[in-house]
Parts: sequence; C-alpha cells; structure tokens
Amino acid sequence: MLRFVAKRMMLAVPTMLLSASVVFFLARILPGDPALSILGDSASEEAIAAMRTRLGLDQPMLVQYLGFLGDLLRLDLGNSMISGHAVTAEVLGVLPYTIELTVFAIAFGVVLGVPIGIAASLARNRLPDYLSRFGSLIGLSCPPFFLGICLLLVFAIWVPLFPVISAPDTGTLGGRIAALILPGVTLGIIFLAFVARSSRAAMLEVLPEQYIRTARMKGLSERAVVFGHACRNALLPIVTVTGLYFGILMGNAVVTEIVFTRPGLGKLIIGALNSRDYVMLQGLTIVYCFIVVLVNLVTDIVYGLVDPRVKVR
Amino acid sequence: MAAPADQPLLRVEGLGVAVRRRAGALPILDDVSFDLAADETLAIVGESGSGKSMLALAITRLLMPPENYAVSGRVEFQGTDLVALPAAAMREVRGRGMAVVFQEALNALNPVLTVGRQIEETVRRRDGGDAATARREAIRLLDEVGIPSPERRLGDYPHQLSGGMRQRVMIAIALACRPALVIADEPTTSLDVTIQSQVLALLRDVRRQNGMSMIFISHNLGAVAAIADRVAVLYAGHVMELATVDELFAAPRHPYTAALLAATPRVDRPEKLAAIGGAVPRFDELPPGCRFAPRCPRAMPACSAAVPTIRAPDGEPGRRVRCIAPLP
Repeated sequence: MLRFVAKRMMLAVPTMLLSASVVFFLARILPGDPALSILGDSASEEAIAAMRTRLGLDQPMLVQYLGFLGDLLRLDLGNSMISGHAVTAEVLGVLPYTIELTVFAIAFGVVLGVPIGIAASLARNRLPDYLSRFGSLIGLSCPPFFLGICLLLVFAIWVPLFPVISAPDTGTLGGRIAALILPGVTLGIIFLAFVARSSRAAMLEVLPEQYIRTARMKGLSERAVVFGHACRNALLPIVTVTGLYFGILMGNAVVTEIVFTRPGLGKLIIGALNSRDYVMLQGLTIVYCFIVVLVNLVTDIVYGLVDPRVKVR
Repeated sequence: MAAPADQPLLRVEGLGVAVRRRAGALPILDDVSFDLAADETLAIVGESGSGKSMLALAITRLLMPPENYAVSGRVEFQGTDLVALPAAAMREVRGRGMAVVFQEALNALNPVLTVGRQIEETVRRRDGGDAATARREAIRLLDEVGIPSPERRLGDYPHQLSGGMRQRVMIAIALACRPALVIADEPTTSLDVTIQSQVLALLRDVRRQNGMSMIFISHNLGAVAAIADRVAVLYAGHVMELATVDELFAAPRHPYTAALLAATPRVDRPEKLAAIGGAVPRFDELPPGCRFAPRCPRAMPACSAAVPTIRAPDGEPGRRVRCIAPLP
C-alpha cells in the first residue's frame, strides 16, 4: 500500500510540473504587454522598458522559465503587479475559505445524494424514483448564480435565517458554519443532483448482478443484500465522480463567492482579471492546477483502498 | 421440521413459470413435476435455452425481479408450499433448507468482499454466533472443499483465486447453509476439464457426507451419469422424460432423450456422433403439440395435434415419458 501511494505521488510531480509550465508559456503568448497594461497607454517608451526590466520580461524566455521554476520550488509565485504583495501569501490567505466552501458542497452532495440515489433505485419507476429524477433534473439545470440569488432572497431577506453577506470570520464556529450553509447549498446542488443520478444508475447496474442473487440465496435480509453487497460495489464510481467534481466545484465557487460576498479565490480572480494582473492570474491558475492534481491523487489512493481489484503495486 | 418418511423432501407439481411482458405472459416452464427423496441426486438435463436454470431459480424463488414472473403450480419442500410462501418465510428456507451452487463463480461471488467475509456471513446468518466461531467454521468449510491452507485464503478476494478454487468457495458457501437440498446449477461450466472432474467428485462427496439431496443441473450427460440417481430431461420448458440413470442410459423412451444420448461422445461406443437437426424452439414460437415434434425423426401428424401428457410407459411404473409413441 505504501509503495502504491508513493508511486502515485511520484506520478503527480511531473503532472504538476507540466501544468505549471503550460500556464507559464500560455501567459507569455497571450496578446498584450503586461508593462503597457500596468502603466497605461500614455506611458513613455523609457518607462515601459524600465517596467519590462523590473518584471524580468526583457530576459530570454529560457532564463525567465528557469527563474520561474526556481521560484516555484521555493513556493514563490511572484508579486502581484497591482498591490505588490506576494501572490503566494495572498492566495494562501483566502484559499481556506474556498476550500471549506468546496468541501461543504461536496459533503452536502454525497451525504444527501447517495441515499437519494439508492432509495430511487430501490423504488425504480415508482413515485420516489420519479420525484428524485425530476428533482435532480432541476438541480442539474439550475445555474449557481440564479439559485444563490433565490436562496438569498428567501432565506436571508424574506425569512432572515442566514446572513446576507456570508462573512466567515464571526469568531465562532457556529457563525462560520452558518455562513457556509447558503453558499454551500448553492454550490453543491448540481453535484447533489449528479451524485443522486450516478448512484441510482450504479445501483441499477449492480442489483441484477449474479453475486446479488448469491447474497439472496444465503437467506440474507433485503437490508443486508442492499447495504452489505450492492452498495459496496455501486459506490465505487461515486469516488471517482467526487474527485472529478472537486475541481469543477472549486471553479464554480468563484461565482458563488461573488454572489454571497464571501472572501475566497473568486474575489481574487475577478480582481486580477479586471486589473490584468498577469502574475496573480498565473499564480492562481497554478494553484488551481495543483489542487486538481492533489485531489486526483487522493481519489486514486481512496479508490485503491476501496476496490480490491485495483493493483496496489 | 423433518418430513415424514413416506413424503419426499421436495415435490414439484405442475410448476409453470411465465415471463410477464407487455405483449402478454410468455410461458417458459410448463407442467414440470418431479419428486426428490432425501439423500437422492436428481439431474436436470437439457440444451441451453431449455429452462434448466430458470427451474432452479423458480424452486428457490430467486427470479428477479419477482413481479416479472408468473409462477403457478406447487413446490412442496419439507411439506411446505414455497410458491405461496411470504417473502420473509422464504428467506428462512433459503440459506437453511436449501442452497444453490451457481455457475461461473467469478460472477456469483462479490468482487469487493473477501472470501472469508462471504462465507462467514453465511455461517452467521445460519447459526448466529460470534465472529470467531464463524471464522473457525469458515476455515473448516474451506478445508472440507479441499482448499489448501484455508486460514490464509480467508483474506483473499475472488479475483485472486483460480477458477476451480472459486467454485470450491461457492460450494463452501452452499455448505455453510447446511442445507437439506443443494441445487448445483451447471457448477462446472466455466472450468477446465480436469478441474471439472475434481469439482464434480467434490460435489458428490460432500453431498454424501452431509446427507443432503441434490438437484444437479447440467447439459453434460457424462457428468450426469457419474453423479445422479435419477434424471429429468427438459426440453423447451417441458419434462420429456424422467427415469433412473441406469434406465435412461440403457433404454431411452423419448426420441429426444435418444437423440441427446446419440449426440454424446462415449468411450465405449466410438462411432460417429449424431447431431440433432434444427434448434430448440424460441419460447415465443413454440410449435403446437409436442415441442420436440419439428425436430423428431419419428414425428407423425398426431404429434402436433395436442401437447402429449406425461405418463408412465407400459410396464415401467417408475418412469415418466411425454410422448404419444415412446420408443420400445
């Protein structure tokens, strides 16, 4: 098992390196001169040249690239072109908010979606199944910004159960969780719908299997057959789905954070986009890539733990 | 509850199974009747598509989902009719009174649970008891089915075992139920020939040692001759002939049985094999009258007039044959 984990981790390193390099070169071939966009159109030639030197853009590409890799090793993503603060520090400062929002949304989706999917599969083509299928269709087709505004209107303004501005730093754990609920539900609803559908489909695939018949042959109760034998197999694909969705939801979190005025990567990204802060954007993209790679790594390991057929070597 | 001595362990009477479809019910098994005494082995033979496996599933009520099947007739097991039994009572019969050895153990065993867990849960379902006792019993069962160093195999997953080992585990699970009746549904299909004979011998031995009755479902007449006391020949959902192994192999009464025997390779009669022309009819295109008539070399117009009743041929009260003109 340890060797399996170590091998997966070794594989993650080149993936991260490759993704960081792609981001670096993408930033370099994008149209527009960062120096120009910082100083504005009226800047003099000398000022632009001086700025290019300050940003290191006058160096040959290879030198820039090697410097970039060296900085990356020291977790230095450069300094924001606008505020001058270290990108790493700015990102790490707000990253926990985005992570906790994403984790909440994932947990919300799994905790509710799996039982709904299982219940729907057991009541196939009866009322609970129709309800869950209809519900998940709505959930899947509901854009987060729209749902977020609706939830705010209903649960923060008409019935003021939750704060309108989801400031997480109220000092208490309760306040922090309360601030998570509306944005977490908003972000997680699509995932919930997806998990419900996936687990229903997976159960329907597993239930006719011959080993389910064997379990019934043993005289096991229907509960033992469903939970002891069917679920174990049906939930394997949910592990993969969850890993994949973590990255998607982190991306979606941008919109949710804006709607709920939450701190997080979302605000940072929008700000960097508006001010064409290339260094910040490059740093944010790399952080996103690293998180996706890490989550995939964890997914691989979890899958190896729950499915004995995966070669743990 | 032990059945009275004069009563068979299992009495199947006029069993019919139809698949419910939108276009109407499609009958598969029809008027299937036989008895099985304690300590006896009955073989059910027939070609693929004759309804053999469905018979096993109908007796154990494992046809899934149940609402898709219409079952008629009686399956009397230890004096109780299983067809009408409530689901909860049926669960008590399964895993206690009867157990099934399924074909293709790779698919019949749960891929994500260890062999030990799958045997132990059967033991605990049968006897209750704690985990340690169940573990000891699982080790004993694996040993009984001839798996070497059983305590080390408990932690293995099905995919880590060979085909023969998996089938032995399947047999161990059936034995864990300590059933009065074990139904072996083509237990040697997916195995190599040498392993086949080992598994066959194992089944015969454990049946004898545990005093169980067995229904042995197969298309392999050689295996049937080696293991069974009596044989029921199934064709397109009808029992065509029912006889002891000796009677059947010595003198088949039904033309289908005769054709089946002629199509079986035998060491003692190395002449050319005779294939049966045509194929088993589809269940939605059953011929009128005798279902074998279109392929029968002795067919006459009367054969297609009505389905022949199954009856004892002249002078052999113990046999049954479904033919209006049985072979002499």
